[in-house]
Amino acid sequence: MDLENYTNVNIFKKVYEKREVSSIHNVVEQPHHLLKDNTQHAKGGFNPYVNNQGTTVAIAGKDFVLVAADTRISQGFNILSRDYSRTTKLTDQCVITSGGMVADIETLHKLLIAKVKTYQRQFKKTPTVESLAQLLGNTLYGRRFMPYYAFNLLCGIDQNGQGSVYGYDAIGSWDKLTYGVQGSGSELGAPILDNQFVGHNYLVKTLPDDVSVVEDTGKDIINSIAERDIYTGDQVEIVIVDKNGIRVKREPIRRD
Amino acid sequence: MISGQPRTHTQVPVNIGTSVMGLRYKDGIMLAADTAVAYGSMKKTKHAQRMAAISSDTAIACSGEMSDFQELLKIFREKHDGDVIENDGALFLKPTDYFNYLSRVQYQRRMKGDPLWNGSIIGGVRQDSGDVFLGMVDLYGTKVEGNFLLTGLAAHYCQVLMQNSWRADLTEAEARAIIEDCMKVMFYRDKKASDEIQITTITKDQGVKIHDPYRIQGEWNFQFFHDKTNEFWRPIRIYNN
Amino acid sequence: MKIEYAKEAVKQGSTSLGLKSDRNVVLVSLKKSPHDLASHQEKIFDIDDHMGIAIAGLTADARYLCKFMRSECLNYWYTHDSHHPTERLVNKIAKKAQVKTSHPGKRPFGVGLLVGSVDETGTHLFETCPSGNYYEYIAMAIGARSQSAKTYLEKNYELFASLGWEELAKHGLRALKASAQETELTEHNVSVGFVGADQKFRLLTAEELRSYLAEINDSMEIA
Repeated sequence: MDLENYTNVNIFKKVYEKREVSSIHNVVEQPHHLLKDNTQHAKGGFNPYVNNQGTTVAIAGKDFVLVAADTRISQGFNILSRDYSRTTKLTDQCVITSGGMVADIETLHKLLIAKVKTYQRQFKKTPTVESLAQLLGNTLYGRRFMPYYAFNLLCGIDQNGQGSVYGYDAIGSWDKLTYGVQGSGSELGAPILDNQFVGHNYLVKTLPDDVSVVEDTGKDIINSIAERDIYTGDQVEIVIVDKNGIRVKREPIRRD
Repeated sequence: MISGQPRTHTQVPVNIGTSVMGLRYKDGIMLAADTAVAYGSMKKTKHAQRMAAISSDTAIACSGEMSDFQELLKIFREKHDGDVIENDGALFLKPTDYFNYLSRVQYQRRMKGDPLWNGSIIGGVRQDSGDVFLGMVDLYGTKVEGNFLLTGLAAHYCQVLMQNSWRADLTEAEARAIIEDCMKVMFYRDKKASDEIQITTITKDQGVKIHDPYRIQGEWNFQFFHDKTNEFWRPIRIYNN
Repeated sequence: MKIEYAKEAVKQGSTSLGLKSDRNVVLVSLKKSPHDLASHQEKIFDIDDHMGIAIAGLTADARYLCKFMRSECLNYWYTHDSHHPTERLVNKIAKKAQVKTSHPGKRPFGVGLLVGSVDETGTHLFETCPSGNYYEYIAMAIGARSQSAKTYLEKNYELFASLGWEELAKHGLRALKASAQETELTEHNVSVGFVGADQKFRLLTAEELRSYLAEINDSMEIA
């Protein structure tokens, strides 16, 4: 009998030899420009995904919702643009903000705008944030086998006038949140948010009621992330949604 | 194609044009590229044109796979002809329309896993309103707009050079000087770049004007090159006589 | 000829009219109700931010064409990030209509459209016919008894060029009143839609309509 097959060592050996794991992260983390003469492509073919990075934060308030996002997009270690807006208006009461791959994000946002327009004409009313939350989930799952490389937060005022944030992964799994953070700085942003706002483990979720305080916190969070995450920076774009509509403002942050 | 094997697409670019540049200046847009096309590390052609007019007010310059560039030109020509053939008193396709259309084409091709392997810079100045546009699209369909844009290696080597010298009120001569500076750096550092460059200007008055290619003067007149080597590196020579 | 019946369907439909200035296009329609207890059929539809239509004839056919126009506009916006040129969309409708005139087992569209729109080349008012023909106008009325409205528009069109949408709408309502004869114009049986160079297409609300109609009725009585 061939004893080799009975030793654990060989099992490990096989795993070790087959160490080229083709997970999404493994592939997209490589800066495109640094590849030597595209040898990666010669072996593995065209990789349709690229991560343009960037961070976005959303916080729900009692009667408003606030989005704070950076405006930098990158390709590898290169900065592609310093004034990219990653937040799109869907209705007067709802915006979507995303991190990930710019081409996918723009396609997704455009598709959602088209779907909102169609909905408005068909039902003679504007879709609620709850409807859009479900719609976005279905839209993302519709591309389950070639996902939009987009990590989204859907933010708006619900039918009771309360602020709400919905968080998604790339393939459409979603949840209602009181605050959320997505993109390259999400690991840095999440604990600050947990510290500053009422989080998952609280049974009674009281929402903040002062926009200006939340706005300052939002700006601070993006600014703090920009200190440590090289892919976040340039400008912070603040989008505030309340019963009066949507306001957008920008402020410069560190550009290095 | 080997039978039984799946259909293969452009997985690797073969004939590669290196970086292209584009910048806004006082009168409009300036696009620039050198004229070399590389096949691996060999310069296959040293006099290729890598830029073209799409319409009377829009032009494109491409880096990357040259056959895909030609395919792009075909796609744009069909698009433009479709605009002309309507013959309804106006050409409706603006520089931004071509830009967005290119991004949709690139995105569709990347979804098929059959990308057009190019980094493209589109520039345009509308003849009616004078609106100036400069944008860049890559092989994923990513759209980027800016005052100056660089693709490929130039994005590494010339970013700072551009950043420091770009102003909104650059004259054509100043813009050309910046482009030549950048091209010189590319010629020195990028093995696939050449010193023959070509410039396209797009202005409100003159529309798209593709200038003749010309050679930039590199500075090679260093003592080092005359001596071929210096004191420290001179090999020991053994004379027999 | 089936096309004659289709044209008749347009003539039987209640009046729709449109008029334009250098910066605005206004569409006005008289809505019919099939029964005293029934609601009024909608006659003006928005197509996109820059475009709307008013119809006369079979509403079902109009809604089919409306859906087609909306999706064409969305597709154009998706690929170009800009508005669909007006005449090219009208041309697409004409192509669809033409096929229906020459195919044996097919019925022509029993509807005429007035397409009001603003694009790169300014304001436009087009009329499409079941035959596949289309025409461009400064002002036009279609549908039942549209001749009286046309007469009003012919008398006044020279004034239109410089008017804002409010004034255009008043002219439109006066023209409609000429066609409506004994029917009283109310906010229930009249629709007004408008679009401008810096104004997205929208319908007037019931309140707005009421105040405009009151103004028209007053001025007409004095005259």
